[in-house]
Amino acid sequence: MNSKHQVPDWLLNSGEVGMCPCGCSGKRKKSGFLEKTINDIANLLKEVIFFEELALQKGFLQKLDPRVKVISLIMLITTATLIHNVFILAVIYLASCILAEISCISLKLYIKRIWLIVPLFTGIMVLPSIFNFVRPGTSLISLINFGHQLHCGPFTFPAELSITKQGAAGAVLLIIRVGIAVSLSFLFTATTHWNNLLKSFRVLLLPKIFITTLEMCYRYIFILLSITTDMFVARKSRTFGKIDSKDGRRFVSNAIGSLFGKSYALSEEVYGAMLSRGYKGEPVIMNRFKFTMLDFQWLLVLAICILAAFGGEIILG
Amino acid sequence: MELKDVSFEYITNEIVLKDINLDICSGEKIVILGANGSGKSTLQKILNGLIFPTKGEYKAFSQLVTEESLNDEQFSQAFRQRVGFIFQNSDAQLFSSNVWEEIAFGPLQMKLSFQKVKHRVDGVIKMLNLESLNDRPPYKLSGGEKKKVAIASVLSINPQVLILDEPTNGLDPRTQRWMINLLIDLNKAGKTLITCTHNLDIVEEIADRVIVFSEEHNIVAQGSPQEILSNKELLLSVNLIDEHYHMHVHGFDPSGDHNHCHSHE
Repeated sequence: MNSKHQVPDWLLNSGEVGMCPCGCSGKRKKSGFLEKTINDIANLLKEVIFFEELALQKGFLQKLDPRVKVISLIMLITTATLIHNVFILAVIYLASCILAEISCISLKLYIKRIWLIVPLFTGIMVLPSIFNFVRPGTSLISLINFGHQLHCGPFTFPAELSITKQGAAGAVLLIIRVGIAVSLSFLFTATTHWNNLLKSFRVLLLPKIFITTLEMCYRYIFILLSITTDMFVARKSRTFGKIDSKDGRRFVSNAIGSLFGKSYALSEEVYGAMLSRGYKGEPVIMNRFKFTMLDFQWLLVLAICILAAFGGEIILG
Repeated sequence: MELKDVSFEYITNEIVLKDINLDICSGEKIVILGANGSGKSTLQKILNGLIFPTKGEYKAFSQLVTEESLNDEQFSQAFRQRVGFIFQNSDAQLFSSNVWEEIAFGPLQMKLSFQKVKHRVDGVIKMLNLESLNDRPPYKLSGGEKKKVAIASVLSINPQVLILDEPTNGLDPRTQRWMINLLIDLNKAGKTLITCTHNLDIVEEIADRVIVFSEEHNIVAQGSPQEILSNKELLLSVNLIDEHYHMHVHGFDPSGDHNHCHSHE
C-alpha cells in the first residue's frame, strides 16, 4: 500500500467469521433494546407526520381559525362537563363524530383512540365510588354479605358490600364526560397544526415567551431524536451478538450524558443564531390567522347548540 | 470593520485568537483559511458580536462593538441589521416552526409592519425559489434546503455584511455551485462577504482577499487568492494541505473556465 501509514496485518485480513444465513452455526437473537428504541423513535416520527398531514387536509375544522377552535373547544368541554343528561351527552358525542367525519378523520381512528384508553384509566379512578362502602345508595348488585357491620378504626361499613345504583350511574356519567372531553380535544388538536395551536393560545393570554419556548422545544425534539437514533444505529452497527444488561445500562447512561452535552452545545448555538438575527429577550411573533365568515357562522351555530343543550337539560332533567 | 490587536480566550491562558489586526472594507469578498481549530469560527463570532475580545478592540461601521454597546437597544438593532451570520450548522439556525416563519423572524425582531415583513419574506422566498417549502417544518428539509432557508432567513434582514461559516459544507455539487453563484451575485449587489472555508476549489470565486490563520491562532498571511493558493509552502506550514497538493492555475475567468486545485496520491 502506497501510504505513510503503517497498516497492521489484521486490518489487511477480511471476513474471519463464516457468513451463513441458514442458522446452522449461529443463534437467532431476539430484538434487543437498541432495535426497540430505534423502532419506537421511528414510530413516533411516523405518528407525528401522520397527524401533521391530517392537520393539512381540507376538512371543515381545518378551515377554521385556530383561535376560534381553541375558544370552541373550551366552550364545548365546559358544556360537556356541566350537562348531567346522558342523552344530551350522547347527542354532543354524535355531533362530534359528524365533525370528525367532515374533517377527514376516520371514525374508526376517532373512536378507537379514545374509547380504548379512557374507560380503562377513568374506570380505575372511579371504581371505588361504585361500591356502597364509599358511596352509600340503593343496592344494584350485592357482592358479599358479611352478616354484621365491619369496623375499621374510626370507620364503620355496612354488613353487605354491593354496587350501588347511584355509584354506577355517577361512574358511567363521569366516564362519558371524560370520554367526550378527550374526544373533543383530540378532534380539535388533530385538525390544527401544532404550531398554530400554540400560537392560538395567545387568545388565552399566555405569555409570548412561553409559546416561543414551547415551539422551540417541539422543533428541537426532532433534532435530539435524530441524534439519539444516530447514536443507537451506530451502536447497533458495531454490535456483535447479544448485549448484556450491564453493557446496555452503561451504553444508555453514556448516551444520555452525550445527548445532554450535545443539546447544551446546540442551545448555545441556537441562542447565538437568535441574537444574531435581532432577538432581544422578548420575542416578536406573528400569526397569519384570519377570522372569516365561516368562523363567524361556526361560532353562531355553536352558541345556539350549547344553549339548546342547556335548554334540553332543564326540560329533560 | 476593524480589528486591532484582538485576542480571545475561552479559558484563561488557552488562546483561541492571538493579536489579530484586520481591516475589512465595504463590498469586499474575504475568505479566511486555516486548519481546524485555528480560530476562524471564533473570529467570525467576534465579527458578529456574539462574543467579545478579551484583549484589543473591534470596531464596526466606525463604532466600537462591546458587550456594553450591544446592550443598547438602538445600537444592537442597527448592528444586527447590518451584519448577518450564516452558521455552519443549519439546524442551530432554523429554530422556527416552518420556513415562512423562519425567514420572518429577523424582520419581525426589527419590528417592521406585517405588510413589510410579508413583502420581504415573500421576496426572498421568490428569489431563492423556496415557494414549495413555505409551510414545511425544518425537520422535513434536506441539507441543501436547510442551507437555502438559513441564507434566506439572514437575507430577509438585508444585512450589508454576510458572514458565512463553511457555506458549502455537506452540500452536493449542484447546490455548491448554486451557493457560489448566489454569493457572487450578492457581492455584485454590494454585500460584503466574509467566508470561512476549507474548500480551496471555491476560494478564487468568492474572494478578493484571502487571510490565512496558523495553528498558533494568528494571521500569518494575507493576499490575493492567486498569491495565497500558489504559495504551497505557506499552506503546508499552516497544515492546510499535504505535500501532494497542487494547483492548475489559469487564473479565475468569470466566463466559467476556472482553475482548480486538489491533491493527488
